[in-house]
This record gives sequence, structure tokens and C-alpha cells, in this order.
Amino acid sequence: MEQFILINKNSKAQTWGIDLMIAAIIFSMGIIALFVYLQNYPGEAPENINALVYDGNIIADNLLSEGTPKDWNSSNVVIMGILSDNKINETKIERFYNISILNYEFTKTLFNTRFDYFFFLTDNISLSDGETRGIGKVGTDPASISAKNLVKITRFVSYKNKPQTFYLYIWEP
Amino acid sequence: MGAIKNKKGIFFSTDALIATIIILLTIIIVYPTIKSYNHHSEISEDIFKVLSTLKIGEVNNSYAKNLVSTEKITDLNKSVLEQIGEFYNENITLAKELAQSVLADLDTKDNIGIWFGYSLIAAKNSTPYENLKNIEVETQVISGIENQTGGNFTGYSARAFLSKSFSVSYFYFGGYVGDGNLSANITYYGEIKNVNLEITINDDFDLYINNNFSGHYAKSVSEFSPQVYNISSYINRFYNGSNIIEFKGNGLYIAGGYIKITHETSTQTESSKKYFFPGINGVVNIYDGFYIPGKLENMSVFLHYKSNYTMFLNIGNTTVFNGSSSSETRQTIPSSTLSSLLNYNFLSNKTIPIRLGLENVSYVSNITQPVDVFSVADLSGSMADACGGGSWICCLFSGGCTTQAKCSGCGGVWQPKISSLKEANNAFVDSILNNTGNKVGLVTYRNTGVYASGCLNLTNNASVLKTKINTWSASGNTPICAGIINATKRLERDSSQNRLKAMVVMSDGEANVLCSEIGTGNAKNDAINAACLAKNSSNITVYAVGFGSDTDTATLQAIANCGGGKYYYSNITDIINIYNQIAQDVIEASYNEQTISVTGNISTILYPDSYILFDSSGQETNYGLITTYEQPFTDSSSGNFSIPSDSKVIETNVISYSGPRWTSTVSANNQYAYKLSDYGSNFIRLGDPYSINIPNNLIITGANNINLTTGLSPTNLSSGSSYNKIIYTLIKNISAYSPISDSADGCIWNIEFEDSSNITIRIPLTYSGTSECKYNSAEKEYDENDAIQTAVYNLFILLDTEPDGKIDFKFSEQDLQISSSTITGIPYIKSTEVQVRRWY
Repeated sequence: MEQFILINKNSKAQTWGIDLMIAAIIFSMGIIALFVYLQNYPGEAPENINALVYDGNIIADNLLSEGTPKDWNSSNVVIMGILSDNKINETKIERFYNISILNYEFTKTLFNTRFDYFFFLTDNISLSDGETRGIGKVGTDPASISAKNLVKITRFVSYKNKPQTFYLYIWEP
Repeated sequence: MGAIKNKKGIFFSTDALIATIIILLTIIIVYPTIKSYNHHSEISEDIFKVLSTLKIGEVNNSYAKNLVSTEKITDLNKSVLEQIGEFYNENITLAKELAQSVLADLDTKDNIGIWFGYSLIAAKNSTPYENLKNIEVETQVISGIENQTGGNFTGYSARAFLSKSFSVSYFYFGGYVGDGNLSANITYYGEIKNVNLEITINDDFDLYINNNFSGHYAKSVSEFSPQVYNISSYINRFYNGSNIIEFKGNGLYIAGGYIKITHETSTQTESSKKYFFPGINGVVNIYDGFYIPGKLENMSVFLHYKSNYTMFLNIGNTTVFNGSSSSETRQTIPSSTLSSLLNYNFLSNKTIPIRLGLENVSYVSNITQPVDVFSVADLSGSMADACGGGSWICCLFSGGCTTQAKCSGCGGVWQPKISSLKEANNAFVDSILNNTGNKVGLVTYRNTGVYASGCLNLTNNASVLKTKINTWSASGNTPICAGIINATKRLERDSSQNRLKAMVVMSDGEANVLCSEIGTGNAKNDAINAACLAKNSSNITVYAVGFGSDTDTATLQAIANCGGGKYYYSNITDIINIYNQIAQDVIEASYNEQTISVTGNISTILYPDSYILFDSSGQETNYGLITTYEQPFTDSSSGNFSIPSDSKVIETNVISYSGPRWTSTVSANNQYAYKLSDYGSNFIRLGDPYSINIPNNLIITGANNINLTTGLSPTNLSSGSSYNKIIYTLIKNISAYSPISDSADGCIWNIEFEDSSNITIRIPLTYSGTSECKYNSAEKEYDENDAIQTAVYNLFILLDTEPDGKIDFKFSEQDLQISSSTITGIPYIKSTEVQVRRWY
């Protein structure tokens, strides 16, 4: 009876020990799954996304202002705003286009961003010698931007006497 | 028992399994929820900006256009937001449809809606508002809109406008007005408020205003740097109407400048059609110009003068007057005469240079280019003194009509051609050598080429030249080409680059000897080509003189044309005058600049009531508030100015301090507005306007660029003065309104004008309170709830074109008109709140 009882006690301990091991394995798998998920989650670099959003908003705010000085040109521009009286000023937007074509990196310096950007409106942008879909990194097709992280900023603005949507794509090259 | 033990054995596993499930749920549900952080968006504020900025009359929206065309919308100046608000009060269905239509233009995945008060007017959303988890609200208050639950109130509205303001009139002096005591006839209407004098003047002077001594002033620093003279303390000496301003001193000349008078006037303007000559008591010498707006229909000139010397007036490059009178004379040149001399179409819409000066006086340039000139004389047989007509039998029996007496005795006319030529050349030598540094040479041609015995190299020895001239005799053919080539070679050899080179080619017949150096195979063409070569290769100006009835005018004319000179025809009696005229031309062409001094005691008078009167059509009469701006050049050759979109240009003038040079070209936005070379290349015979008008069709709304050059000739151009200015006058119809407001009392305004002067005035004049308002560069302060204050403030915004807090139009209390009205029974509340909400 005592022996039986002894054997019985050993069996009980082994059961709990195996259970503990299985529990530890299951929990470890859960922790590993969490780790792997976090590693592979799209927001793997939230600081980059935040930086893109931050820079994108700054660029949008800059563009949707009158700029500094108010009647800026390529030689004295401090802030490249394209509005006058809350409407897109066609002279300013053309100046912005010309600067971006001639020296895109300079515009990034003005916007104080290391990211690439491209902005466009509902309508094509009219220029004195034609029109363009948008302004920013040369050769950008907004429908097929290949980037690791990309943020789209949407604003509204008055252009050609109608409300238009202002899109700014900013991405990590 | 065993079953119980087994259950105990999976306790930890179950626990771990539950923990893992919790972790996975956290991963799958909570984490993404946490990470779907939605950044604050500016689009609500953007919608307000867009709808508050776009005017309902200009918005590119088919629904809005339809409402305009059906006159459901009548005030096109309302913003879209205001219009929606008005409909919200009157017809909420229209408000909703208009708002929905405008929102439809926006492409966004955000949920957005517009609320007026508690009513949703329009929305664009994919998630129902009821399901929102977060919401952002942007609020704006608009006035003049009654919420639908409220009643009617009493409000006030005001309008402010200027009934008249101070106008600025400019009275320009010419590019060069001299020499002597000078005067200007200045006519303006209204009470004078200010006067400014800005001129370049060569010497100290006394100023007289309507015969009253008004101060002694120092000369300006240089001919390119105008001096501003403060004569405001003599303002009470000006009269409403015609005024005579006199500058008295020693041989004064003004090389550009103006008198600017600020005076009260009505808001209507009419373009002037009379150009007044400045008065001159001394040596009349004017280089100026005047502008003909529109199509020139008629023009007449009235000259009031006294001059023993022949006075000439050139309009453009055409001499329209030559005359002298030792007594005071009034001379009118009617339009019938002028229209036969001038091309009115060419002169229309242009600034025309005018030159008024004296002929046949010895002008000496301050900076004269020395002259080397050859007289190239035809000594062919036909040049011999001969008897024309008469009985040949008589001549035969009298031993030949070889003298004037024998010729006359036989009934002939004595033609002393070579004698006259000698006399003319002697006079020519005297005229040219009258100016120190000049030289004259002689080349003669006859038979088959140059007649060496009649030639002489360049010299300034008049007696040697005259001795040689007196040895000339006539014989043989007419080799004109040989004479031109020989003179060219001598000038190339003996003259130098800094000296003016010219020749005077005289002939009485046709060229009939070929020239191997040219080789056209035709004697006449050889002569013409030789002249072209002299001009083009050696910069020698070739003048031509046809002498007598057998002259080959066509060939000599072509020689002068290609040689850059002039052609003159002469008979025997006036050959001396012709050579003197050419000598004058040669010397004048050697003037470097307009500034001259005069030898001899010359006293001529041009009275300041002399004028050019003209009628032109195609001009508009302008009504509205007129402002004149002065914009200095950015450098010595260009300037910029801008035309606001709400203004119309009445007049633009470029003033040019060209000093002793000519304003050669003025262009606006890369198109010529003025080009002196259109009137000729010898600038000394042309006028020099100080004020050049830019036709309105060359001016654009927005930025304009002006370029200017000065010069001594069409090929000698340089920049002008950095003191040049653009003076332009704009007109706009200005009045401002207030929204419906609580009160309409007014206040005491402190206002700063563009010239930094300040005034403190009660607006309206009947205001008796103590409220203070400010509009100056330091601060702007008024009560938005007061209709009059708001209307006046809005007016000031319009009058502050810069905008720098300084009002560009000077006005007085009496000028500012206020109309206010009490409005009852209108929908009006103070605080209808509009919200744009974004939810997600």
C-alpha cells in the first residue's frame, strides 16, 4: 500500500512536470509568434512613417501658403508657397515647376526633407508652354511609385476657379 | 482517481494555451487598432478656405453657373460659403444642392460634412456619421445669416468711397532745354496741395513763380543726377489755371526734369492734347518730344518768337518750319501744311522727337570730334566758264564769248561754273577750318582720272588750300569714280579712327570713265560702288552735289545714299550756299553730344505760349479713382513695375535723364515703345524727349519690364541714368461695403499715407464720439461690429495698394464719403456657426 502510494506520488509529479513543459513550449511559441509578427508587421519602422507624415505635412503646409517672400522667385525663395489670396497662383506654381526641373534636390533642401516627393491636383497643372500632371521628382508616375514606405497627404485648394484635391506623395527612396 | 490526476496534469497547458490565445488576439486585433493612428488632417480648414475664397460668380461649377443664369444668384461677389449661407436662410434645398455640388468636386476618402447651425447641409462620406469613432470639427462664424429658428433683427450697413482725391500732374521739361533764361507754362485745375521740382540744371538759378521771386538755388550735381528742390514754401504763389515758372541765370539749360503738382480735382481725367514749348530767352535750343495718344487727325503749330537767326522746327525728322523775325512774331503752321509734310499715320500712338533750334549759327560742341574732309571736284571740260545761249556768229566775230562782257554783248548768259566752284570751295574751307582741329583736302578729276595738279593732302592751312583751288582749270571727261577712290585712299592714309571722315563729291555731268578698281563695267555704277566702299570699309561719309542743269541726279543721289550723306542740287548762283550747308552738316555730324556753347552774341526769344496742338481719336475718357506712382529704375538701363489686376492703366511714362546724350530706345516687355533711329541716324537734327510714353497695349497686368538705352548714334549705345523712373497712372473704381453689423457710428481715424504723413480725421464728419481707429504701418485697429468703421477699413485696404499699412491716395475729410443705412426686417444674426466636420 505504501509502495503503491509511493509509485502513485511519483506519477503525479511527472504529470505536472510534463504539463509544465508543454505549457512552457506553448507560451514560448506564443511569444515567438508575437516577436515574428512584430518583426514582419508593415509598420516595422514607425519612426520612418512618422517622419514621412511629418515631412509631408510640412511640405503641404509650405506649398499651400503664399511663401516667403510673398513674391518669391528662384533667387530669393525661402519658402516655396504657391498660393496668393488662398488660391493657387499660376506664376508661382510655374516657378516651382521650373525650379524642380532644374534642381529638384534644391527643392528638397527648401522643404528640409530627405524624402522624395511628388504633388499633383485633380486637374493637370497648366504651364505657359503646356501642362504637367504634377511637380516633384522627375519622371514620377503617381499611379506606380515603387517605394519601401510611402505616405499620401490629401488637402483641398482652389485652382482654376474650382475646389480641387491636392495630393502629395512622399516616400523613402 | 486516475482521471482526476490527469485533469490536474493539463492545468498549466490550459493556462499557457489561454495566455497564448490572448497574445495572438492582442496581435491580431488590438495592435493593428493601436497602430491605425489617424493623423490630424487640415482638410476641414482647407474646405473653409476654398469656399470662403472662391466667389460664386467665378466658381467653375455647372450647378452654380445654372443658378447664376437663372438669376437665383444675383450677387456674384459673394463667396461660395456666403451664398450657401444665404440659401440656407431662404431655401435650404438650394443650399444643400449647391454645397453638395461643390463637395462633389473633391476627391477624398475622408468623411466630411458641412453643418450650418445644427443642420447638415452636405456630406461626402463612406462611413455614416452615426458610426463615427473620432471627429474633427472646424468652425467659422459668418454674419448676415439668420438661423432658421430665429427672428428678424435690425442691422446696419455702410458704404465708403472717395468722391474726389488729390491728383498729381506732371509737367515735363525736354531732354535738353536751353540756353538762357527758361520758363514753363503750367496749367492745372483745383486747389494746389503740394509742389515738387526735380531737374538737372547746369548752373545756379533764381526761380520766379508767376513773376514772384521764389528763391535762389544751386545747380544740380551732374547732368545725369537730378536735384530735388524744395519749393513748397512758395505754394501759395501758384494759381488755379495757367502759371508761368521762370528759371533765370547765366546760360541755363535743363537736361530733363519735371514739376509735379498735387492738387484737388474731380475723379475724371482727360488726356492732354496740347504740347507747350518751354520759354527761352537766349539761344533757342530745344531737344524734346511729345506723345500723340490715338490716331493723329489734325495738328497745328503756334510759335511765338523773336529771332534774327533762322529758327527751324523738326517734328520727327521733317523740318516743318524755317523762319526768322527781328520783331516779336506769332506764326501758325496749319494742319493743311503739316499734313502735307508729315505722315500722320506714322506719328500716331508714338512719342515724337521734336527739335527747335537756330540755323546758320556757329555751334561749337563741347566735345567735338575733329573733321577730315575732302572736296572732290569735277574739273571736266563742261565745268569751264562758258557762255550759254547768245549768237554764235556774234561770238565768232568777237573772238569768242570767253568773258562775261563778250557773252553778254552777244546776248548770251555767262555761266562761270568753275569760278563759282572755286568760290564755293574757298568758303567751304573757311567754314570747316573755323573749328580748331579740322582739316581739308582737295581731289580733282578730269580726263581719264585724277588731276594731280589740283589735289592737296589734308591740311589746316586755309591759304595753301585756297591757292591750290584758284589754280583749277577744266578739261576732258568725268571720271567720278577715280576721284572718290583717290579721296578714300588719302583719308585712309592720313586720317585716324578718332576723326570724322567725309568727302563732298561734286559733278556737273555724267560719269563716263570706267574705274578698274571697281570693275562693274559701267562708269556710273563704278562711281556709286566706290562711294559704298568708302562708307562701308572706311567709315567715310560721302556727300554729293549736282551742279547745273546737266547733272546726273540719279547717280549722285545714289552716291550720297550709299555713302551715308546727303545729296544737294545747286545752280551756279547758290553753289556757295550749298557748300556752306554741307560744311554745317559735316560739323553738326561731328557733335558728340547735345550740349553746346555758342560763339557770338546771339539773343533769340521763344515765348512759353508757343505750342503744338493736335487732335487724335481712339482714346477713352476715364472715370474713377486715379493714382500716379513713381517707380525708380533698378539700375541704369532697366526698371520694373507691376499693375494690379483690379486696376486699369491710363498712362505710363519713362523719364530719362540722358544728359547730353539722346534717349535712343525704350522698350516695354521686349517690344519697342520708342526708337529714335526710326527718324534718322544723325541724332543732332533730332529731338530728345525726356518723357517717353509707353502705349497701353504694351503694358500687361502683373509684372512689367522696361529697358532703356541712350546714345550718340544708332550704333553708339550705352545705358542711361540710374535716376530714371517709371511714372504710371492707374484708375480703379473703388468703394467698400460693410457686412450687416450691430451699429454704424464711426470713429476718429489715425491714417498714414504713402509719403509717411499722418492725418487724424473724424469719419463720418458728424461723428462726436471718442472711439479711435488706426490704419498705419504700425497697427490697424477698428471695431468689426461697427458698419461704418468696417466699410472705411475695407476702403483703406483697397487704397493701400502695396500693402504696407500706408494709403497710396491722399485725401481729406471732405473727400471721404460715407453712406450708411439702417436695415430692419432682414434676416440677421451675429453668430450663425458653420462647421466642417471630418470623422473616422
